[in-house]
Amino acid sequence: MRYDAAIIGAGADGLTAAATLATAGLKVVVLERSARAGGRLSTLEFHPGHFASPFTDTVTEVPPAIARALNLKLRAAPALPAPLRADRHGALARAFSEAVETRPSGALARWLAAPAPSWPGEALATQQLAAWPELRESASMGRALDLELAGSALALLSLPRAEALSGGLGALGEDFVRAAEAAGAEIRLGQEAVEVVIAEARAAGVALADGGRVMAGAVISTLDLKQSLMSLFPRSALPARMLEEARNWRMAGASARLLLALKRPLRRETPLLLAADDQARAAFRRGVLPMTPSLRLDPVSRRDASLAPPGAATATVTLSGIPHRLFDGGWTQEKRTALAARALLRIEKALPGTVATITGVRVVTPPDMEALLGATAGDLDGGNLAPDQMLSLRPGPRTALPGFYLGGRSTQAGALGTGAAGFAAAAALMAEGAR
Amino acid sequence: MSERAAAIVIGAGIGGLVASAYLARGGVHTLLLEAREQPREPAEALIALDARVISELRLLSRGLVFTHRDLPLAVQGEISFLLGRDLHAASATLSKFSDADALTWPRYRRTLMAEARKLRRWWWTMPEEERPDLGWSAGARHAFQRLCLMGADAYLGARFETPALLAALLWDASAGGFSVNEPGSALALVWRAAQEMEGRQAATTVARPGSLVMALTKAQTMAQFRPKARVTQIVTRAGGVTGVLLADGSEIETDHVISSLLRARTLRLAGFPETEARIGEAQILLRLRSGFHASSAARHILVSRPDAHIDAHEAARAGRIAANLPMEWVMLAPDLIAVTARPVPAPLKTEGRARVAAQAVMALSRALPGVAEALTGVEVHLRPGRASLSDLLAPPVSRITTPIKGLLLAGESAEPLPAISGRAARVAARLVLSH
Repeated sequence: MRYDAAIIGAGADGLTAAATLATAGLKVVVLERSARAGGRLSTLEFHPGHFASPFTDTVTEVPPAIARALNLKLRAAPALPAPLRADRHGALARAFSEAVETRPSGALARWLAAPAPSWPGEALATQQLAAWPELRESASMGRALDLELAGSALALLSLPRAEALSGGLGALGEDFVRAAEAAGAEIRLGQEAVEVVIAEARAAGVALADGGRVMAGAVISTLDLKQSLMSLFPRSALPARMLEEARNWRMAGASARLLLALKRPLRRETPLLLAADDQARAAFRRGVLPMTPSLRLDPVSRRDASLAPPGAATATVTLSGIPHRLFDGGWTQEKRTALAARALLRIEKALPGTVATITGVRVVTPPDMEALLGATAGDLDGGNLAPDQMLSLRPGPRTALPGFYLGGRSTQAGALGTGAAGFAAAAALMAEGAR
Repeated sequence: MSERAAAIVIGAGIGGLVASAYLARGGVHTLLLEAREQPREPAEALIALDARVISELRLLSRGLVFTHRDLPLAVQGEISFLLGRDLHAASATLSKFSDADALTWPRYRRTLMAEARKLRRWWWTMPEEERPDLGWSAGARHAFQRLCLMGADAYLGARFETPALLAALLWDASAGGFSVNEPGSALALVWRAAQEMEGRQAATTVARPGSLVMALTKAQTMAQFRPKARVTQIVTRAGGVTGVLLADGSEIETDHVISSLLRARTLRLAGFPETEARIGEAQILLRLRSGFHASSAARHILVSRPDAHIDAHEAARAGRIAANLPMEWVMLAPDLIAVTARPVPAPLKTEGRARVAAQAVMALSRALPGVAEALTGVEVHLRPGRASLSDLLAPPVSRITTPIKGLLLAGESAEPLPAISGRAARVAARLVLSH
């Protein structure tokens, strides 16, 4: 059986690509390594009766057109200042239009090409996040940014943050699955792609870990750039420049999470933000656990009662600037406990009495994110949001290998919206088919 | 009735001396005002002294003596080694630590020089001329955009693996007050290479102490030198210069003022409130007793780890002096050592100056035992500056001109990155002469 497209990864991007292609009448299969679809859009019962999303509470907004097409149920995200909103929309539109654009080919065409107009949002590449006091907390959450350095303002493009109406991000994931299935896409769980099959200098299918093969006219990988190019191909299969780009692509997860089951609701209704001290960034660079980590305590069950049993509460703590690799070895149980203890100590100081109400804690570290999501170094952004890795300098959906597309967070649209990269990859694939 | 001069040059540093030499040569009645008794001698190795200034002002026949040309780079980190101009010899040295680095070195140097040659058009192009990148291919423009937005740590980190080598090479990227992980710092690295190329045959040279000032003083004998004349105000009327006010209360009328002071200081004298940079570099001059026999013909870089640059930048921004301040030292004469340490907070108070000097002496004692005992005098100067990417890409004339008609800049801050060059002074003098 031969498919028109095989999609690697059943996260928001993979499912959006599947829904888009299947709606257009293509025969689509989605291959997912784990036993459930949704990727980071998941909700976990981490303690009896207590539910939370393990990786993040919110995701970058799904572009409204995609949310409508897939019939997603989303809580309205707080509005961005108008210029930022325009930048974001402009950059997304640019990413989509470049995905379907015919490229000039050949040296002469490149030479004659007029200078490309700059991308909307490019001005942020020389601005500081510190200049946006009202937005910097949410833009820097779960990251390791120096707010005072030029270019840190690019993190603003990952705003606004969206969440599910009810049931945590897992419910949003189910919406995506439903949309893909309703369109006619096939989702195969527990099937790990290990290699892209190349035939006649074109991507022609996917080899699976169990020895099976899925043949397809085109392949979309929603894995990050490093995984896509360095783990799905034998070394000699890709042009050296592509491999070099993947090797030099910088990824560093910096986010850790605590999921807290509480006997009774917190006294606060809004998130509590505790900033890091000035040693925290140096600790991150050195691979040391910060003594006073930057954290955001979010009483999630205040907004979504389905996340906790009646009378009890669920809260999440998102820690920023947590190194993926520790200088003195792995993330042992002791270090996980130490991290949780330091975070809880800070919370107890700010909200006395909180710790006594905790009935259950789950710690999620950057290596956990890597193991569970497959994100290199636990990086949820698909690559550092540095100026030389954003906008036009992020890879587009097309690659040098015909029939092979990138549709994950590492791509241009991936940094700008949830599901957007999958949509861009599907659009690029269809544009090629149309030619 | 007050005094009148056709042109006034403020500050008898190298920039001031070069400007007044050109003005006097052009037959303009020029007054060179200096707050001290003597012109100030540069206390550093010369990386960017303009070859045209040397030949046009006939400095070599007027007594300028280079004691060393083409100083190799001495890396003094965890491991120590010397890198000279000979690419093969440098490769052989590096192969002791890393084969990959040894292979990369010649290619890196050639790429850096190729990029530097491209930048020279950014040095010369006048605002009314066409964009310097006109005629570049789309690919070249894309590569240049990436270079501009890249941090030097990523630029070099993609190429080299030996930490000591990385740490030393990053030194140049922190010139001008960049943090080595912010956009613009990779470009700073290339600008430094471009400035070095201006020395034509000699990348980094050392002049015999006093000989440059002596040669320049001879070159500007036709200009009137007035020591102990501190300028307290640049008098303007209707947006144009009309004269300067001295500390003794006297006023000198003129239509043209060339200032070799820093941009911010100059504009403040003219009544323009301009904020001064909060960080800078410390130049420490160590005078030794004459019996101290040591000689070293190298540009020594003392940086413990690549991270030390970022640590020091964070500390300086917070108003602190880092514990492991990156430094460079050059022996100007057997009894004179110039140390540059950066970044440090600005302004640097007496206590801060003492701490920086103490760190320099301690660091140097490891390389040159006995330095502390041989010390007869220490001077610490602060060169404030915090450049941004847009400064590096601004047309050169915008660094030399000011919002005030007739007021031009000729000092180190009129160069793309602060350096003793004479180039800006030459252009400023020509602008005055063309009136």
